[in-house]
Order: sequence, then structure tokens, then C-alpha cells
Amino acid sequence: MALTTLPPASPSATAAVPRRPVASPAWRHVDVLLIAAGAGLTALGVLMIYSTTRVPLAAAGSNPEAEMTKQLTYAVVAFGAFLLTILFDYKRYLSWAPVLYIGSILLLLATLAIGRTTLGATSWIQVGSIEVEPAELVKVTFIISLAALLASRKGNVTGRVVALVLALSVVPFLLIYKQDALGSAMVLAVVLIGMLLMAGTKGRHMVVLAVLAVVAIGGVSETGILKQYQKDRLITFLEAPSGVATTDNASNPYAASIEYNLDQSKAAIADGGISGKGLFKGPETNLSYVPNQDTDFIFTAMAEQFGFVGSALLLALFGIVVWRSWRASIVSRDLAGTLICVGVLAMLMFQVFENVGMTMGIMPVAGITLPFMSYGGSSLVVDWVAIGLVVNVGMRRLS
Amino acid sequence: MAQPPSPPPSEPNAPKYSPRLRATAVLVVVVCLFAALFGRLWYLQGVEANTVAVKSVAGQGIETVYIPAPRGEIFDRDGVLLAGNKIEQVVTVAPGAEAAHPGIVGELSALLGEPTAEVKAAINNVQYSPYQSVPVKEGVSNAVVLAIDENQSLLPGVSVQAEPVRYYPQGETTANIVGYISGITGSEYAQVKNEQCGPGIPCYQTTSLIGQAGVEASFEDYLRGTPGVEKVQVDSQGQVLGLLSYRPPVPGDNLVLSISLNDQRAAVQALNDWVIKARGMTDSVSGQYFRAPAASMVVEDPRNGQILALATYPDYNPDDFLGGISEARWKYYNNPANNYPLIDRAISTGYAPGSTWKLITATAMLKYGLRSPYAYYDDVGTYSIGGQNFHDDDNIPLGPIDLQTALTESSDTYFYSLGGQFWQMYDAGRDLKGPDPLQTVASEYGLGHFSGIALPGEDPGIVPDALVVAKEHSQYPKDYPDSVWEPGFEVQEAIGEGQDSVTPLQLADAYSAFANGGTLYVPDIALAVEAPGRADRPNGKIIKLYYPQVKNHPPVPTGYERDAMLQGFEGVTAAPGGTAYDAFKSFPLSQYPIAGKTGTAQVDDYCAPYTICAPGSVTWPAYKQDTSVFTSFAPATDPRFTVDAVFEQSGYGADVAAPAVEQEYETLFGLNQPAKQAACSPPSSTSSTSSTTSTAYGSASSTTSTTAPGAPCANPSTTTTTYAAGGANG
Repeated sequence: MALTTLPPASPSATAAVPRRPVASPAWRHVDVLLIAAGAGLTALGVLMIYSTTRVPLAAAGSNPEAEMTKQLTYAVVAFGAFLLTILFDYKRYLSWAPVLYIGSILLLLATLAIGRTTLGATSWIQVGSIEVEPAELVKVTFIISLAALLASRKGNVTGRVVALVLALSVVPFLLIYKQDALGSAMVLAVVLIGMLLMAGTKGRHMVVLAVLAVVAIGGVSETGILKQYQKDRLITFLEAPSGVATTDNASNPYAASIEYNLDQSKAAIADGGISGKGLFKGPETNLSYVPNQDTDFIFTAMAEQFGFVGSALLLALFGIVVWRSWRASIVSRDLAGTLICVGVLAMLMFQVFENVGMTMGIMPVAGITLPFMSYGGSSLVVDWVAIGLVVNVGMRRLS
Repeated sequence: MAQPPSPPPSEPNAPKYSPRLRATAVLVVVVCLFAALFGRLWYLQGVEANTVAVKSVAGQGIETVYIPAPRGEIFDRDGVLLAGNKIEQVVTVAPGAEAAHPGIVGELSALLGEPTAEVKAAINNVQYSPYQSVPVKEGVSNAVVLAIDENQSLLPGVSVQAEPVRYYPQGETTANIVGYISGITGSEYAQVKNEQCGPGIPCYQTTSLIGQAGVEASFEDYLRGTPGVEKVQVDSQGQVLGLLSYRPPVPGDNLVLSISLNDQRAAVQALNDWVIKARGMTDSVSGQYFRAPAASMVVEDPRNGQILALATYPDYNPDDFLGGISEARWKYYNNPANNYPLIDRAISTGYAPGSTWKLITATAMLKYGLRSPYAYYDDVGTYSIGGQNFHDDDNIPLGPIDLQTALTESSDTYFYSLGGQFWQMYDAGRDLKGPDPLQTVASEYGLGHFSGIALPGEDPGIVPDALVVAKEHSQYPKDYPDSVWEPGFEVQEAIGEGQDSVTPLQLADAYSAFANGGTLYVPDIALAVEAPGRADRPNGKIIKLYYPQVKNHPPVPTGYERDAMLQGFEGVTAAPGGTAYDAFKSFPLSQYPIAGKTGTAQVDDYCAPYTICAPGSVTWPAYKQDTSVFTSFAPATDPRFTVDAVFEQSGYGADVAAPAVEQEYETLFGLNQPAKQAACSPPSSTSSTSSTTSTAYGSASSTTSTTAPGAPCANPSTTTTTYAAGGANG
């Protein structure tokens, strides 16, 4: 790592000065605050997973700590992945960009071929005894590949470049969409937009992109490419006051169940009030009234048990993560680092906003995890690799 | 912030590219998004948290389960158990167990030896709360219990619980009195679902058991107890997570009946014996064997109206109804060929009482001064009025007779003429719209009215009068061609024929009133209600006592007039010319004088084959043979028992009903228990010699059953006891 910084410093090395100048080791610039925020979020996630799963597990006669223990294991693995990520200069990852891109495509194809279907999504593959969700991993490789490509334009992003980037992005996007992991595909889209913006895409191209996006969304929803349940989610979101069953809902149990999910979610959040019900004391959480509360709706557990104070603290921790990513992006030694940081920022910011917004009824329901907190190994590892990239960029800003 | 990255200098065509500007734009977006999240969060938790819709979350997930209370037990007056609860092993399946492990249906089916469809239906009985274990089979053997314990891995959610189950140790003997319980029906539940057994505790669930007959039904409110309440926490899937609160069920109160099981057993035995004997006798009218399809017997204490025995034939087994009666049994009980065992003939069927009615006519005669008891009436074998002739049953003229002989030898003509006199004095030409004096006296003796016994299904009987006839005619002119009260009606009524209808219980009540000198009691079936929960049942805390209740004071004659009637009744059993002399020939009447009256009630006019039949007469087999009736009280001078019996289609009262009653007296006076003969015990030690040991209620009959015939005890009512069984004497 520090070795790469040595050549420019060599002229004075001959001066036989015993003291080594400049270039304190990169690990001295590691962003401790960012890591602390990530660790805090991960710890809170483990606690929330325990609070939402212990009762049903005990009722089923299992070990109430089973899911919490698994998540703790994932956290250890994720932190290992984080350490690996900051070990090498991110330049090396950028040089792997074509390999990472093609590898990702192959992985997604493999998932479609041999993947396992859960909750309507064919997005898991078995690797040995563990299951991996490739769509999650692809988010990171996508950021790296895109950063390598756009940084090479040095701010001069022409229409052709935009077209090339779109063409390259549409392949993983469609493959992920084909897995019915609509949420992950949306993350990719947002990451793409964020990075294009940061890389210097011209205003008129951004406008064209926006128009294209609107046309695409309209076309998708009108031509039946969207599955019924995906539409239902959007409809549920658009049909405001919760609890009002429309005739549509009466004939459509799925929409009713989404609405039920949302109602319980909002009820749980409101139930927390200012100071919360206290750990293990929220009725909605204890009685598992909120479906998927250990995964997509984990925010509600925090909100009910610790109230506004706790949820605001949680959002503040996310705020720290986003702020430190943004800061790393502007102090980066090169444009590629900046773009990596903005890609990670876009990914995390969108996931937090979509996930928390969904539980509070201001965003449509989509299968997007809350970074660092939702139960699941793949997303936790990817989140830690992502902030590993940010830390990597930040710690090598002076080299 | 540290230094921004320097714009790439080597790009000439990108003068407008400013990373700093773009980064700022990103920051603005980020801040906006966070602001939106914080704003919404504050709205939900700070503002909306206090709305009603959200508050309903608090009660979510709490479900209430009601636990049935053990039912109160039922005892006879000596403390013998008539209805109790035994602990049975019940196989239950936890809620949701079948959904989680469908295999248990097959395993249970094999283990219990029941078809899978039945096991499945039992598990999925929707009447049970989804938060409650559902019983699948009751009364399983220890082997099954062991098998379930040992194979829990194969039978998750299946367990065995000890539950109280109703049982009737006396079976058929007391079935008509005790009754039975069974699962509440939908329409019954609709009627009682709002009844509260405690604050917010409904008495009944759709799975509740409820008394359906006998005292199980009429004392339901005491016997049922108060259900327990369990509040459980359930999650959104309906899984029970834990117990929030538990209030145990309160067992029902115990009921102590006035019935003496000993006397009841003897009465049932007497009915069974004499039904069989009657079926071996030939009817002189039709020339056929008597059918004797049904019979009943009542034993009452005339001093207070307490019922000591209430027997009916045929009877049923109350255990058949536990856990739901099978269709085959239900069909059996309702098949006319089996004579409807579910009907309690003693209280639910009215009969023409025949000559036993003469108590009424004689009382009315004396009250209205129609005839002196010593006046002689010349019985010529027939009586004529209004162009109609009425015959004595045997057409044999008895010659000049007074009241005593008329009762002893059951002269119909004597009473026909009284009926005729009443009609001439009170009905002829008067266009009466109600009862005349004869009918009024009948009514004062309680006939034509509900006796008020605390048993369901009582029949009030009929005392026909001018009004009844007019009503019937206006409703069914074809069946009842007469619209006015003809003299013939009154003549028939005077000997208990025609439309007179009296239940055996009413007949006993009326004779009790005569026996005790003029008090008509509401017959008591219960002595007391006791608090539950005592192992040494006697003297459990008393909740309610049933004191003798006076219903009316019929005009029972006094002095020499009463003596004349009493001697007439005593002669029935004791005088050589008495109608029941043969039946009581071997009975120690000198020791226990019995006053009685036979009755033989014609049901149909018989039409012999190959003859020209009178209008309305019936030929065999449609013909119904005469009803055999006997009623009595004893000892005649100081009555402690009123006993009557009615046998359908069994001929003369003297031939079947009278000997059946005689058989009952042998038990009542302890004559058929030579082994137990002993010197008369002093009252204080009575209880220790009684087979059922000490009881707070005492028992006239059980006391005498331990008494040697040679040494009659003093009035046994002095041996009582807490509850003043002899209320009339007190």
C-alpha cells in the first residue's frame, strides 16, 4: 500500500536524512467515524433482529437467539470483507473493472439458471453451504466498473459516453430485473444516475435521460412488463389513506396484504411515540404484527421500541455514513475515487430513503434492505465492502 | 472540508465541469431526503401517535379463552350420589398443531382406532376457540395415554388432559328425575348467550354443556358454575405466546334432592315386576293379554310435599346422551314401538283417574251438603238421567250403602247419582260459563293445574267443565259434537271418566292433601343447594333451602265426615269387600294401616268382533285397554307416605296397580329387609345405622327401613335434622 507512494518521494531519500518525510502510513487516515457509524448500525441491527425474532422462534420451539447469532456471524464476515477491501489501493480494483463487469454478468446469468426462488424472487444461489444473493454483490462491482469507465473521461462525458454507459448498464439491470429483484435494479439505476451526474454529464444529456426514464417507466407499467404484485405495490402506495379498503383491494388479496403490511408498519412506528415502548416491550414487534420485520421492515422495530429519539439517532448514524462518504468523495486524490464514493453514497442514500420511507408510507413498497441492519449476509457484506471502498479512497487521499 | 480534487487540467473541452458544484448538488439532495425522513418520522411519532386508530394497537393480540366449570353434583336425600363428575383422560390437540404437522391425524387415527375423517373433524371443530386445545377423544385407556407420552416426536401438539366428565351412577333408576346434559344447540345458545355468570363472563360458549332434562335442566343455574377465564397473548399468526391472566372456574353448586334412592329403586322394581305380570293377565273385555306398555309410580311425603320416589316405565339411560347421543339410540328412544322412554309418565301424562276421583266427588258432596255420610243410597246397579243409563262396572247391585261402603266397594252408582245431583242443582238451565262446585273442588285439590314441581315437561291435566266443552266444540265441531254441558258429562266426571285427565303426581298431591288434613303442597324435588368444594359433602355451606310451599287448602272435610271417608279408604285394603283387599291380604295392615282407592279407567268403548258396534267404539287392535290405577296413603292414622301407581292398558286397578303399590310399601316400611331388623334405634343414633351414614337431611324412609316391624319407631320426623324435612309438623 504505502509502497506505491514511495517513488515520488525518492529524490530526497538520497539525502540520508534519517527521518522519513511525508506520507504517513495510509492507515493513519482511516475514517474511524465512518467505521464507528457502520459498526453502530450493525450492532443496532443485530439487537433489532433479536427483538423481532426471539418470540416467534421461541414459540416455534427453536432457540430464540438463532437468527441473532447468524447475523452476528455475518457481521464478522462482513467486517473481514471490509478489512480486505481497504487492504489494497482501490486503483487495483479499478484496473480489474472489465473482469469485474463480465464476472458480474456471468454470475447473474448463473443465478437465473440455478438460482432458488424465495418470496417471488429468483435471486439466491448456493455456494457450498451458504446462500448468496448475487444482485447485492453486483451493486459494488457495478460501482467500480462505472467509476473506472467514467473517470477515464476526466469530466468530459459526451453523449456517446452516456450511450455507452447506458448500454453497459442495461445488461445487469435487465438480468436483475429478470430475477424479480426490482429493488436491486432500482438501486442500480439510482447509482448510475448519481455517478453520471458527478462524472460531468452535460445538462442536456441529463434531461434526455430523465425523459427516457419517464418513457421507460410508463412503457413498462402499460405494456405489462411489470408483474401484478409490482403494480400492486405501487397502487397501494398511491392510494392514500391507509386502512380504507377499496373495491379493488377487496378483489385483490395481495394488495390487501401489502396494505395490511403498511398499516401495521405505520402503526408500529406511531406506537413508539417520542420515547418508545422500550426494548422487548412493543406489542407490534413482540407479537410479530409487522410482516418481514427482521428484514425490509426492521426500521419499525427500532421506531416502536425506541421511539422518535431512537429512530432519529438511527437516521443520524446513516447521516454520518452518508456525510463521510460525501466528504471522502470531495477529498479523493482522483476522479475515480470521487466517483466510487458518490456511487456508494447514492446506493446507501437511496436504500435508506426508500426503505425508511416505505415503512412510513411515503415511498412505495419495494424489496430493498435497510443497509447494515436488515437480516441477511449478502447485503451486510456488500454494505461493509461499500464503505470499505469509501474508507479506501479516503485513507489514500494524500498518497 | 479539505481541498476539493483539482479539476482535471488536461481536458481542454470541459471548462464547465465543476466537481465541487456537482458535489454540492449531491449534498443538497441528500439533505432534502433526510429532511423528508425526519419530517415524516416526527409526524408519525410525535403527532399521529396520539390518535385513536393507533391506540387500538394496544389491545391487539389478546384473546380470551373460557374454561368450563366442573358441574355441581346431585345427591339423594341420604347423600347418595346421583350425578357426579369423574376424571377422565381426554386426548387433546393444541391449536395449529395439525396445520404444522398434518401427520398427526393419521397417527391419532391409528392410536385411537377411529377413522381419519372423524379425527380430522374433531380437530377442526370450529366451535372451539382457535386459542384452545380441542378434545379429540374422551375416556381413553392408560395404554393410549402411555403411547402418547412415549411418542411425542410423532405426535407434536397432542397431549392428554384429565378433565371432569359427567356420569350417572344410578343410570336408568333416576334418569327421569336427574335428567341429562348434552352439548348446547345453536338455537339454545342463541337464547342464553347473553347470560352472565360474573362480570363480563358469559355463562355459555358454543361448546358448553347444558342440562336438557330433569333437574339437570331445571336447576341449571345452580349446577353450571362459573367458567374460568384465561387471557392469552397471541401473535399475528394466532400462535399462543403466553398466559396473561388466569381466573379459575368456580365449580357449580351441589344439589340435594328429596328423592330417597332406596325408595326410588323399589318403585322402579315394582313397576318392572308388575308390568311383566300384567302382560301375563287376560283382559276380560277384549279377551287379549294386557299390553301394559307404560306405568309410573309416585311416593310423596304428605306432611310436606317432598317427593321420595318418582318412577316411570319404560326408562332410559342418561349416559347415552353424554358426548352426544348416537343416531341409533335417538331413533330407538323415539320409536313408537318402544313406548317413548324419554317421557316421564309420572308428571307428563294425564290419565282418566277412574274411581280414584271419588275423593273429589265425596269431598264436594260433603262440602255442599248433598248427602250425609251416613245416609244410605240404594245401589241398584244402574243410574238413569236425561234418558241415559249408567251401569256399575260389574252390573251387580250393592243395595243400600253409605259413603264408607261406597268408597270401600267402589260403587259407581252412588257417585253417578251425585254427579246427576250436581248437574241438576248447579248446571241445569243455568248456562254456566265456568266450573260448577264439583269441578271447583277438583281444582282446589290441584287438578287441572300445574303442580309446580321443579321438573321440566309437566302436564297440567284437564278438569272439563261447561266452558271447556264449549271451547272444544267451537274449535273442533266434528270431534266434539256437544256444545253444552250435558248431564252425562257430569255423571261420568263424578267417577273420573270422560275427559278427566290427571297426572300421577297430581293424584298423589290430592291424596296427600286429604291425608294431612287439608294442605295442598307444591311437590318438592329438591331439599337444598350446597356450596361446592367439600370432600365431606354433608353440611356443605348451604346456599338455598327449599321449604315446603303451600299451594292451596282444599275443602277436606273434618270430624265425623272425614272419618267416614277415611274408613271408606281404609276398608279398600282391609275390609273383605274392599276392592284391594286381595292385594293387601298378606300386608301387616294392623301395624301399618293403609288407606287406598282403586281406579279402573276406561279409555275406549270396546267393540267385540261380529257384533253391531255402538258409535265411537273401537275394535282390537286399535282398542286401548283400561288404565289400572291405585292411590293410597299410610299409615292411615298418621300418614307419612302417599303412594300411587298408574299402569296403562293393564285392567283393574285392584289387579296390577294395587299390588305394585303394596310391593312399594314393603320397602317403605322396611318389611322386606329381615336382615336389618333390629330394635328401634333412638332417633339420635339413626344415622349411624343407616347405610349411607350421617346426613344432614335425615330420611323418613331410611329411618324406618332400619326399624323392626315389631317395634315401630316414634314419628321419624323427630329424627331430623338441619333442614326440617317435616316442615308440616314443625
